[in-house]
Amino acid sequence: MSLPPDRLAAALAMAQLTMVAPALEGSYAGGTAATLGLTLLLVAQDAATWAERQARESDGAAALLAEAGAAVPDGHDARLAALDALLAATGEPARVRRILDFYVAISEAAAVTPPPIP
Amino acid sequence: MSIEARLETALSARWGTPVAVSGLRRFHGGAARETYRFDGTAGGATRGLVLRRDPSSSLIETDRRTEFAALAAFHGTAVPVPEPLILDETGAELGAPGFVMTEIADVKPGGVLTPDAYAPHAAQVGAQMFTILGHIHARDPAAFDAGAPAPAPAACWRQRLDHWAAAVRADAIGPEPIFWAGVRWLGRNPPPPPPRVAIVHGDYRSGNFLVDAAGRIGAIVDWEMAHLGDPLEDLAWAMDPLWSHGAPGRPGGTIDEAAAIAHWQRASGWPLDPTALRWWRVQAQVMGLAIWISSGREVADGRSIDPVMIFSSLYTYRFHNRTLAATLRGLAA
Repeated sequence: MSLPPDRLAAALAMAQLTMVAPALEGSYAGGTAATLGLTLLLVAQDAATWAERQARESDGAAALLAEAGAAVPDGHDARLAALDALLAATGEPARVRRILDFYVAISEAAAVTPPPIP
Repeated sequence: MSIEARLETALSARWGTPVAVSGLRRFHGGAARETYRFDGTAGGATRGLVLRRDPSSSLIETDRRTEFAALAAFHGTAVPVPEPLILDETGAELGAPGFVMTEIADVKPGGVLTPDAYAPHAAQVGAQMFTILGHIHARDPAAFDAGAPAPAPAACWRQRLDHWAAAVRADAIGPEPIFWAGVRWLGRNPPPPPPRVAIVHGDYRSGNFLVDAAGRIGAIVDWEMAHLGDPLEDLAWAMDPLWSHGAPGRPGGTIDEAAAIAHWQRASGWPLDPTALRWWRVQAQVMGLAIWISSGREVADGRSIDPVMIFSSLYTYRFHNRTLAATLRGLAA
């Protein structure tokens, strides 16, 4: 079995940060290699939860649309677009707050955290 | 023709004497321009110089004339900037549209992911950061050739909001519901207008000023988004948590926001309307999202493989999606 994408990205990140970037330190290429390594670390974080988050976002949007009596389209992006349209149209403060609570939850779950750079 | 040869030809014509170029080296960072430093030697004297020119793809769609004009507006004032020397709007001289300016020696930017980037001079740097911002906003807007008519004070907010909405309408590859919720809130809650328009840097924040080893700010850089507008746009962007080095409430990780605002007011003489500042702080997050969404589009379409663009489309995009959602939820409470 091959490594999953998050483990592969993490390994590539470490190779960039510990082998390539130090060898090119002080140059444009070295800075580029360090940024690539840092970005790969974030990609590794993201890949570890991507599929689960997409499903949770899609299901959460569907539930909010159904609760409002709105049509529930197929597909993650279509559901988020429909939820955006519902938020734009609704004048109910409680519904607005529930949709914004959902946005807070999905954006917090999607956050990635770079390590501090000394 | 090599970049060195192009620079020698352009500088020799400008200075009226043969110029030799050596030590050309590209800087890392700043995805809006390719930036190189080099030495120009003429008549036995050597000057450190910097070339900024357009890459094939950019984080920010800008006009190099704008940045050159902004440097010209502030060179020789209390706002430290390099001296602009040569502008090439077509790329005929420099190989790509861009300009040459003097180098400010022995200064560097603070890394935006570095905690305490300005230690042990953080308080001094914070005071200068907001005092200089005040000086920018105190400058007569007529000094800056913005290339477009100044907006009416009451139109500043709508101009910026429409600008970022159009960018996301053109560049988004997904539904972006948090961005659009932010745009709607801003449209429904317009800010009180400023008393007049000011020169707005457009990207004033930690990372866009250069500091020496003693904690003195030697240069304000990256003026490519300069325009005429409401100065609170700059104040809000400078105080955005993205640029706080992990210390929210301390812009640039330096001083607290109340102290920052006090320095800015003292130097600028501008009034501060808290309702207006609140609007511009929401706008800052919408603006950030628009920039990061556009950078993602460049990557998605294969027009850029610059790692700064890739990083921006992931980390900073997610950062502002998260802060804007939380802000909007707070406003709806």
